[in-house]
Parts: sequence; C-alpha cells; structure tokens
Amino acid sequence: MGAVSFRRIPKSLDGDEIPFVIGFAPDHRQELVNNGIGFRRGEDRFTIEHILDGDLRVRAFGLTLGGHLYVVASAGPMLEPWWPLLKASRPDSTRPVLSAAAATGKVRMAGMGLEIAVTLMPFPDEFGVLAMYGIADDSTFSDDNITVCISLSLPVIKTALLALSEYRTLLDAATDAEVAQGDQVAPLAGILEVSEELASMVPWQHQP
Amino acid sequence: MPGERKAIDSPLLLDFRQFPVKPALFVVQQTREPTGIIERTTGGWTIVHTPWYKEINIPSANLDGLFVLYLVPYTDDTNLVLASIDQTFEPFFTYLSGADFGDELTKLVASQWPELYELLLHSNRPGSDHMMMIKTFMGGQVQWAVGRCSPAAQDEFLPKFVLDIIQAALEVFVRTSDVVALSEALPGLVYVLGGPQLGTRRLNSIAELLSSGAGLATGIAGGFQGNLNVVEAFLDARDVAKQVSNLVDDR
Repeated sequence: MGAVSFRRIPKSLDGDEIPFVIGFAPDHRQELVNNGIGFRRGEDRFTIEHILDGDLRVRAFGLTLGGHLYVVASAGPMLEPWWPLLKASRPDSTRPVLSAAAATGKVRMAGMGLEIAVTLMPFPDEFGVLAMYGIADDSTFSDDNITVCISLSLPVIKTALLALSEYRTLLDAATDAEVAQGDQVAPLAGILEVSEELASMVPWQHQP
Repeated sequence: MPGERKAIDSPLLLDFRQFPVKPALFVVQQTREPTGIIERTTGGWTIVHTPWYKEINIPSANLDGLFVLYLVPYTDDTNLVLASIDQTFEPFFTYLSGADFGDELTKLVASQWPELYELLLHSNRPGSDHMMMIKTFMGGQVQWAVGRCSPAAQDEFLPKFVLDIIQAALEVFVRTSDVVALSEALPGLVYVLGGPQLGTRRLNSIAELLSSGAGLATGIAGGFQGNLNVVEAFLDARDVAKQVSNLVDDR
C-alpha cells in the first residue's frame, strides 16, 4: 500500500466529528480511497474507513490530543450509562472485553505478532465509550504516523466492535431502539448483531 | 367529587421511550434466565441491574415459577417498587378515562371496586405513599403496573410489602383480563357502556372492550403465552391469595 499523505486527504470532515465504528449510511462528502480504505480529514483528525460492502464500513480515526497522536474507534454513547454498573460488578465470562475494561481500563489485543493494550472507557460529554491507542508522542500527521494509525486501527476497531457485541448481553433481549446515521435509521438490535459478525472478520484477538 | 374521571385520568407515568429497554415482564413468569449484570442474594432473589431500574426475580417453589418486580428510582429519596400487569389494563383504562363513558364508569368503579379506584386516585397524586396504578412506556409498549414508593436507601423489603404489591397487581389483572370477572367486579358495566340509548358508537365500544377482554384472557400478558396452567392458577382470586401467602414461607 502506498503511503497516504495527510495533505492529499480531502478536508471534508465537520469540526469535532467522531464517527461511530460501524458506518452504514451513504456519505457523499469527498474522500480519498486508497487500497479499499477511505480517508477524510479535519484540522486535528482524519478518518480511516475500511470499506466492506457498499456503504457498510468499519471506522476509526486518527486524533491529535494534548500533543499526542491516537488512533480511536467509537462504540457510541450506548454503553456509557452502564459503566458504573460494570465497574461495580464482578468479571463475567459472557462479557470478557467489558469486564477487562471496567476493571483496568485496558483491553489486550494480539495480532500481526504484536500485543497491545487498547484503552476502552467512557469519555465525558457526548463522546461516549471510545477505544483508543497511543501512536506517537507528537501531534504530527507524518506519513509514517498515518501508516501506523492505519495498521493499528484494526485492533482498536475490533475492541469497539467486541464492546458492542457484549453490550447485547447487557440488554438481555432485543429492544425497539434505533440508531440514526446521516439520513438512515437502523434498528439497534441489528447493529449489535452485525458488530459481532464484523468483529469476527478482524484477525486480531482479545487476550483475556 | 368521588367518581369523577378527571380525578383519575392522569396517572403516574414512567416513560422509558428514550432508553433501550425491553417491555416489562408480567409479574408472574414460569421461567426466567436473565443475562446482564446479575446479583444473587442470600435469600435466593436474583437482581438484574440496569442503569434505569433493577429487575427483581423472586422464586417460588410452591408456584413452580417466579415473581418479577421492578425497582425504579423515583425521587432523590424514594424508589418505586412495581409489579407489571403488562398491557392488560390499557383497554379498560381507555374507557375509564374517555369522554364517552368515563364519568359513569369511574363512578361505577368508585362504588363497586373501591380498591381499584383508590389505586388510580393515588396515582394522580404525586408523592403519594400509597399503593397505586402506574402507567409505563417500555420497549415500545404501553403497559401498566401496580406499585408503591419505598425509601431509596432501602434495598431489602419486608415480605409483606412485596406480597401486598404482587397481590394487588394480580387482583387487577385477574379482574380486568377476564370478561366474566370484570362484569362480576363491576355490576352495571354493560349498562354504563351501553347507556340508555344504544347508538352505533356505543355498541362498537362494548364490542371492542369485550373482545379486548376476551383476547387478554387468552394470554396477552408476556410470559403467559402457552402457559395456561400458570394462568389458571391465578385466575381464581382465592388462589392468588394462597400463592402469595406461600411466598412468605419461601423467604
């Protein structure tokens, strides 16, 4: 894969946009597509969208924050109200990723001969629960930094997807809630079901 | 003035429409295998924690089933403890609070079924410490429950407190889910609904209510579908009291 230059990525993101890890709605804004991955950028972030089938994508984004560069995937706001309960409860084998994150804030992921500890925790305001991993101690979008962000977007994305699939066990049954994205609306139950399938497609594995 | 529908037509409403919750379970379930964040108490109760409420499962060996209650934060100092009767009460309440028959029907309920009238009356008085009817929106459904306030600091309940709620819920369920029972509970019901002049709309209303009741009797209450043995066990009010009293022995 050729290097992706930050300058070549079209600046088409809204200001503080945090894309949900699963993209299912058409997004007609300009993007750069390189080897099956779509890119858009703003001032302090750029999106990494692994294109699966039509409008279906799994998404992460590179973000500069406090002088550091992180790769981040958003599990959305749904899990946030559950976090105090998860922290107060015992580890449960039916939700290993959420149990690990609630206990330590970290989820260990292994793949490509590496093992990394992805941070999974709720963030204030409307950020929701984010999976994130530090890429560099600087805030430059160098070609090398971007390449590492792309490579390590997969375990971060999988962490967010696993968190969503384990969220199903908390709900105990399908609800009639819906998820809106752009002008599309999808049933939450369907999104959560898809999250499990998508997670299984990412070759990284959670290390209990 | 006792019996006016305005006194009872704005019941306490618990609205969960903006949260991803499922419909409340009927107070009696034959089986229940909850998942999620679960706590099992030394007394044999199972508590399912959610950010919005706690679901409490109370097994009963005598019943070969279990009772399901909900604990919902209400004010800073109080929770509501409720037992759901699912959708069974809504058709009846529609008539009770409606312009066509509401005043007459409410008077009838106040005189012939004062226990239900009191439950509705307390539901229309925020802060009431009495047992009351509670309307809920959960999982896309309009449901009803019977409940009562308890101190928020209290996470254990006296058996009598729980039993009174279950018994009151089942009595409302039994009477409003069976056409014959409803007509026995409210002598004069058909006359009130029909009125002295049986216009087409009133005739249709009677047909709708009775058909709703007939439908309810065959199992609109969640968890009851196909479990007629359990239904029959509760369709007799005397059995209700017996089953509930068995709970005390289970504790």
